[in-house]
Amino acid sequence: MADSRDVKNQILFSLLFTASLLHSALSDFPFLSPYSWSCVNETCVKNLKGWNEEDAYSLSTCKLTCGQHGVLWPKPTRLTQISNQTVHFNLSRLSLEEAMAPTQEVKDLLQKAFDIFKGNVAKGVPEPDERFFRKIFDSDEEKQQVFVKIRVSNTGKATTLRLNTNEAYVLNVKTNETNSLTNVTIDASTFFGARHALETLSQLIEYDAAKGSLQIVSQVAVVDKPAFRYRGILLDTASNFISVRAIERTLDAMAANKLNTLHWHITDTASFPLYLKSLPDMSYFGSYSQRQIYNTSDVSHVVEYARVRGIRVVPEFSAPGHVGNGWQWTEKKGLGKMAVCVKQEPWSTYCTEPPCGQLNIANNNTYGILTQIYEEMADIFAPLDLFHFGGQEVNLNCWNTTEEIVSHLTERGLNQSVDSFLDLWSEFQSNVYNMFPADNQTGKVQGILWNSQLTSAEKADKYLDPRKYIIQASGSVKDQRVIGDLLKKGYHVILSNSDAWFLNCGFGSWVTKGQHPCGSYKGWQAVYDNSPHDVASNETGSYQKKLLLGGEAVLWSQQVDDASLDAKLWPRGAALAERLWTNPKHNWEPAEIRFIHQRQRLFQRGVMADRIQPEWCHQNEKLCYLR
Amino acid sequence: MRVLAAAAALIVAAVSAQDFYRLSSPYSYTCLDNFCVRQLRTEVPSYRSQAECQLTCGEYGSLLPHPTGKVELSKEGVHFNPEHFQVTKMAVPDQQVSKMLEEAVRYTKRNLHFLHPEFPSQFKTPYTEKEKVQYVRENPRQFIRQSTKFNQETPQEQTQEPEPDQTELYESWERFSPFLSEKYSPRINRHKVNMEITVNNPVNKLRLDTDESYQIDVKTTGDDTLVTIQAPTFFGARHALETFTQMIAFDESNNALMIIKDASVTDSPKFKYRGFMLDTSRNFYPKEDLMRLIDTMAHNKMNYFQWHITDAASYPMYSEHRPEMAYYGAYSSRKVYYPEDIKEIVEYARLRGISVVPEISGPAQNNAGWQWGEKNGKGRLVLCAGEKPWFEHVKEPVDGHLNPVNPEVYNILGEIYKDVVEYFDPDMMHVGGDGVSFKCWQNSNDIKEYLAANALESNSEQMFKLWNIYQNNAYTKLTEAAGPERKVTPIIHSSSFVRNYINKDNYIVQVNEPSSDPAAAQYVKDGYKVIFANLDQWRVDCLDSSWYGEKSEKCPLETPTWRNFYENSPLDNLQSIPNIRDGQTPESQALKNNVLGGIVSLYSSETDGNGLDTKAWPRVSAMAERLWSDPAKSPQGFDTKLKRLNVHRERMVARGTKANPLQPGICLLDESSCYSKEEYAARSANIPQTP
Repeated sequence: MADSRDVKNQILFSLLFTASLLHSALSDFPFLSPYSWSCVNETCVKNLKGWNEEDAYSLSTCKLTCGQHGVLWPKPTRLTQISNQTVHFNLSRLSLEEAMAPTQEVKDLLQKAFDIFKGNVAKGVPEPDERFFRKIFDSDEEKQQVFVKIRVSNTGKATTLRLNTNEAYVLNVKTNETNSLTNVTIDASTFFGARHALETLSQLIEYDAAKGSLQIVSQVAVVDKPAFRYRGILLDTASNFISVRAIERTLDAMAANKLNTLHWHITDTASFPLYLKSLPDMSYFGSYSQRQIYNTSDVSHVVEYARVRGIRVVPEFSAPGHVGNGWQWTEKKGLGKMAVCVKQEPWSTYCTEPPCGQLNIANNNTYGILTQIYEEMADIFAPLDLFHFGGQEVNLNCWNTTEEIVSHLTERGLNQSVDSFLDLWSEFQSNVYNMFPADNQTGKVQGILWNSQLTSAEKADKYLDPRKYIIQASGSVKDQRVIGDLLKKGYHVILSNSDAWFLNCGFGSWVTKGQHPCGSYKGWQAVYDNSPHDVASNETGSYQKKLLLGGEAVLWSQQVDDASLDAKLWPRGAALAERLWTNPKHNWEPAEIRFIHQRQRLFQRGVMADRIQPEWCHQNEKLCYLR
Repeated sequence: MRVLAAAAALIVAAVSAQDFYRLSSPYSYTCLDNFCVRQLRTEVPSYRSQAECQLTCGEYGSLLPHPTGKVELSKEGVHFNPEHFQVTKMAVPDQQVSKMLEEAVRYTKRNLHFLHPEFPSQFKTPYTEKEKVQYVRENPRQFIRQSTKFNQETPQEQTQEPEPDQTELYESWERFSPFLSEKYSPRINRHKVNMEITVNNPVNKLRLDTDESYQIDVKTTGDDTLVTIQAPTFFGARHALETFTQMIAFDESNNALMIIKDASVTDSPKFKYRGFMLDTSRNFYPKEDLMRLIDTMAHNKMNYFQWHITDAASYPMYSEHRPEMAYYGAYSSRKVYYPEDIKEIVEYARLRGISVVPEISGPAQNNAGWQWGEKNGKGRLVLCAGEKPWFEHVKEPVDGHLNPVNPEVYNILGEIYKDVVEYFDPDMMHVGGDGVSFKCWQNSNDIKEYLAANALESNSEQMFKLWNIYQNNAYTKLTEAAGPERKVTPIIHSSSFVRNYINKDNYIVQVNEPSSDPAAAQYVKDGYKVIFANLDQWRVDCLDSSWYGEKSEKCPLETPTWRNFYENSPLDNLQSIPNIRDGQTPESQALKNNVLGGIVSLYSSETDGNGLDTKAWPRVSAMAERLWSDPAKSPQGFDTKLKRLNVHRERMVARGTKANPLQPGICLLDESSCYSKEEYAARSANIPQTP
């Protein structure tokens, strides 16, 4: 101890200039903080420590080791054992010692995932504050090594995430104090399980402000696998443009929470920001500006950025509803009108929100253009696992008041009844499904559709083949049966109920006075407590574990763009993540402490996650309790 | 006509050519019924950019808050390069005002450069002297350019030092400006925007009686645009500069700035106090976040930053007299406001026309930072600090009240006040006065002993008396701290204590009651000076407010939208007082003068720097227009406030504030595409349909 103090004095002497910046706080008080923490009944309790006390047990050390699950988020599902000791180490001595994998491709992915992991750990180390000195390393800490070994089993050749990909992993941390070595071993069936393990490992490491160095829990065993296969977030980049940088940030945060699907709602009536080589007119007429366009390279960058973080990108091309801007050029080129009811007034008669617009399904040229769009999308979003065909909010009145479509009906000897229009729509749907090209790697791509008139209990059998489509259900489970009928009919289902998982609600209507139709803001507690199994069980009497693929939080972006994206998605997206990965039996209350910490972690990694409590509650665990 | 047709043919030819994607946009804009309507370029005879349309369309163009006096805006704009904007003449009463104006002009210039969409957003950080100095130190050579020193007319004798050489350094942010590398046509390159500023009065710190009015004239002849600003004080001139920037937009069609060709505006605010309260105790905000807040307030012509610096949860203010407070009370050693930080923020605000009102709450909401008392022989300074579940006493964690019967409390308070007065140089100070729980006092032994010793009963009357003892002592300490030279008026939250014990001549009352509550009218009738803070309408932090289990009692059930912020009107809320709006009678005028203005509140339980911008803006911009312009209700379906808010929101984002969008981008691109049902009905009833 005397040695290190001498070193400190020398440095003090040599940095006189910096020392002059030292505030009197330090001359008055010997420690950065008058508090220390101890773990009592799985809770970190704050104590006043004596001014001469040498052994500071800092908050981060306590958080890492206190409670059965420490600060792991989402909570592992099978086994978690965490010792109550940490060892300090220097970032430069954290290394990937071994990566065993069946192919070089998987090995490369593992190396990338490790680099990302190490980058995340580095983000935990704060910038030095010129007002304070950081403590100097003890010499044995300087020697401490952390070796990571990853083994992916021989069958794990997968490099793209599919619905049947095994995401499980086993993680062990063992520290040998005699040779200052911490061995981390990761075993997984696929790359995707292995990268989740690295994510867990990053949550076993924290910066210790009192010591000025990183620390890792010394002994750990975790066995983990997700409860649901599909754990998604919807990003709408059409109502307002969202930059590639912000999408990257979203993917970073998703990866930190082991979410695995980015549903990219890339076009809508309001704008068409996707650049298509085969149809440049679409974005020329349809984007908000020349700067608000996703080029081909942007898209492939996002897909790759997601893939190495264990995330699949599911592109959505909305049709036949939610189509308008971007299609203005077709008439002039002699292809006829392809979008109808665009900007028709009053909008409330022709669509659910302005601006209106739907595809002209009576125009045969529309299919030609759609083929081009699908082919290019399949190409730039490759490798594709799933494709979202949209199918949401089709306004039959729009078609019913469009002469071209009505006469098309008459020509075919159909009347103007609701059923005729639904027939026409389903015909459109099966046409575009057949048009959609197969993926080179993955074969025929499975489709996703929003729930709609076509998916209703009476019609679904007639119109949609459960082997071809997964249905994403968005109604409010408080008012209606949302997934029960679909499950009974054998459809695979993704739950996105608006009463819990619509994260855009609560900011008021954007066209008129009063509140948005989806009601109030969904607090993280409501997001956490929304259990797909409970919904299925209420509506069908069983959990439907086979058919219920998972869930997705939805962020429609009418009132969101780069400026507010992070604060609206996070940390609530993390609450969704634990529901879908862990699917705990308990409600949000036992998760609160870890949840607050997960928010801190997201913030550390550069995500502008919103606060959910005063910091006081983070430092005084369990004192902000329910009355 | 033939020329027109030819031009149209040319456009069509250009558009049909293969390289038409080089055009920035296939659309042109027309001003129709105060809205910029988007049309295909090929379908209109002459092209008009969105920037030009938005600057000039409607009575107020894209000015927000809208001016209260004369507004004349020509329908055309002219292009220029922001490098060619300079102040050519400054007539000021003294050196101090001159320095402040120079600073404000530099800041204005920076905001103009920020309008370029390619300006890297990570460098749009608050503008501090430190940033500049550091950059210059690192890069002494590279960024030197010819000086554009303006001639200065000061009535005093020339104190100007001779320039060592006629060069000055590029500012640190300037090296990122895409304007510096844009290429323009000779016509744009020739165009100059020159500014002349006249200020008469030497006042350099904003007080409640400061004249904030101004006049700005823009006149273009040939290649020159002359902007004339006349204002009684620096503060009016600063607002004029803000209005000036709102007459300018970035034009995508040629990547230049565009200014309204000719304009004339006279303007002054309707209310004196246009405030923003931020709580930095429940969660900590780094200095840069506060500076960004101050910047954004300035963009909205708000003028008082009420800094709720301490509370029960943490004590981030470093007091030189009592460093124990921050040592024990701050969340961490990094989460402290040191005196130099506070002074820097106060100065930063002053240069943006804003005064800082410190808020040191009492007697409730005190806990963090006071823990050291007992150990150091000063007795218990705070009561109910964690002995019982918080909900026994207060409405949200953290519990804790000052001990009104411990004289040490007042000594320490006096020392803290001294520091506050020194750091903030305030004309007002908020002293709290909300959340007092008599139960806390009644349950604590110190109070029980005091009551027993003085043979007093433990009833609410005695508790009010205790509170009064506290408040009187606090007032005395504040007066002592202010000293004989200075007056610091305390602001206090409204309560039954205020109504019964507080002297209307010594305090200003902040009214938190809902807008429909008659309390405000009663205060005004009784002669109190009031600031409106209706927490049901003007509070930005209540999105969910369930952080301790259920919706906070103070939060409205429905989150107020920008319309609530806009429509809540202090004078309308006082309708029960005759003639209060027009102030026609001397009595009503006197009462009206006591309505100082309004303030928005942000209690930071669920907010820190990440959510601050998104939650506050542009909703608070709507309130800013209420307080500056106090608009009368516009006929339904015809007002331009939403579209001006949309434009203003984009402007704030361009300047580095992460304001939330109110509508999808299409509603800004084509202002006719997102009307409400009411607007549609009103418009189709009033506008004759053209066949």
